[in-house]
Amino acid sequence: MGKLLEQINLIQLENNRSSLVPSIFTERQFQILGKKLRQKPLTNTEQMYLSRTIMKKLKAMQTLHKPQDNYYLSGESFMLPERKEEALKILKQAELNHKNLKIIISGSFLYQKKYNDIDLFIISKYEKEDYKEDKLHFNYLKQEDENSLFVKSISQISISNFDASFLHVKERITISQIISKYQQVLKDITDKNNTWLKIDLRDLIMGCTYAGEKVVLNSAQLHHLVNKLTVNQNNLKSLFVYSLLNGFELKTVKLIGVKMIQSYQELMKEYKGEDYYNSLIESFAEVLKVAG
Amino acid sequence: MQVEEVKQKVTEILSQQIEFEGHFDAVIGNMTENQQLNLLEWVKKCFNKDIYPEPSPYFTDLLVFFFKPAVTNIRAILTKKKNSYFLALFSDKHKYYKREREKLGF
Repeated sequence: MGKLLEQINLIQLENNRSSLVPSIFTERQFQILGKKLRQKPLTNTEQMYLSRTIMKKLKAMQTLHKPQDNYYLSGESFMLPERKEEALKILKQAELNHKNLKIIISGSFLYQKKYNDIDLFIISKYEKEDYKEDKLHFNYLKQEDENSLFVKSISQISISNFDASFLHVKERITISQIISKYQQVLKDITDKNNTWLKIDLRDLIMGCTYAGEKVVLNSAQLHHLVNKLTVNQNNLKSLFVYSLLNGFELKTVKLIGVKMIQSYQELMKEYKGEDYYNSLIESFAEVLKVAG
Repeated sequence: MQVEEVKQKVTEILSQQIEFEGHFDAVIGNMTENQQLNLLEWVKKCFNKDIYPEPSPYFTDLLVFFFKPAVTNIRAILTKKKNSYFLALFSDKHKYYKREREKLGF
């Protein structure tokens, strides 16, 4: 029972309430399921409901989710139909060279007419070098990356040979990670380095929305936001400030805010890059102002 | 240039001994001479304070310079103690660079 429940995301459940109640669950059953996922204690009656009725329905739904030939599609509505077929062929081909390994095909190839590479992510026990073969980009991930925010994000619009919807983020996003990503993005802007700006901005948005909202954005949503924020960079500061204040303990945020401002002020005396350090100081000043 | 020559030049630019980390020898050994010169030019700019560092949000006294050319997947990280000496020059492929960044609190 535990394993099946682990595969259900509480936010996803809440967001899909209208399609689940009353068609599949009664209001009462839905509440019990929510209570269980929040790890709240259940009464004997609720426990009985859970094991006798709710779990049976969940198991039945799971069998529907499993496709016939053991290939799994997530975020199908985002995909271009012709790419779906092509990706499936690529996946089957890749399996021949990567026996018994988990493979995910993800990225703009699945949902955009124009794309650069076809990204294949292979989860392997052993360290392997990534490589390119024409348009195919083979990326090797370690097993411990399976529960990273990155893999969860890419798996949301993907074709894979395992059920990637079962993956859950176990990675802890730290305040240091958010700050350093923000530093990198502002540096890219200062250096007018547009190639890296897109890459770093993507990581920053992914980290911020997860830290601040516990939301994992998919590749298409990230792509859209990166384009939007690249054009209008004013919203960047707000995103950063919001995610720090919403995602981390206020005491920690204030402490690190003061420390970082001091650091930037010291560096400004020694190095060029006044604009860069000033933007960072302004951002942290805003954090401290809102934090009160 | 041979790897040892590159290391020697880095030491001369920084006027001190530093650690060479990552798969440094293999990466530098496989670089074209032009790429090696670009890396040395970048080290020189870091030393001359033409490139500004990022402070580690995790290790208060650590300053970090990142070298990430768009054309190759070879990266470098030069670390320096705040108001003090340089510590190490890490060079490796992007995958290992990402891991090293995390270790440094980035």
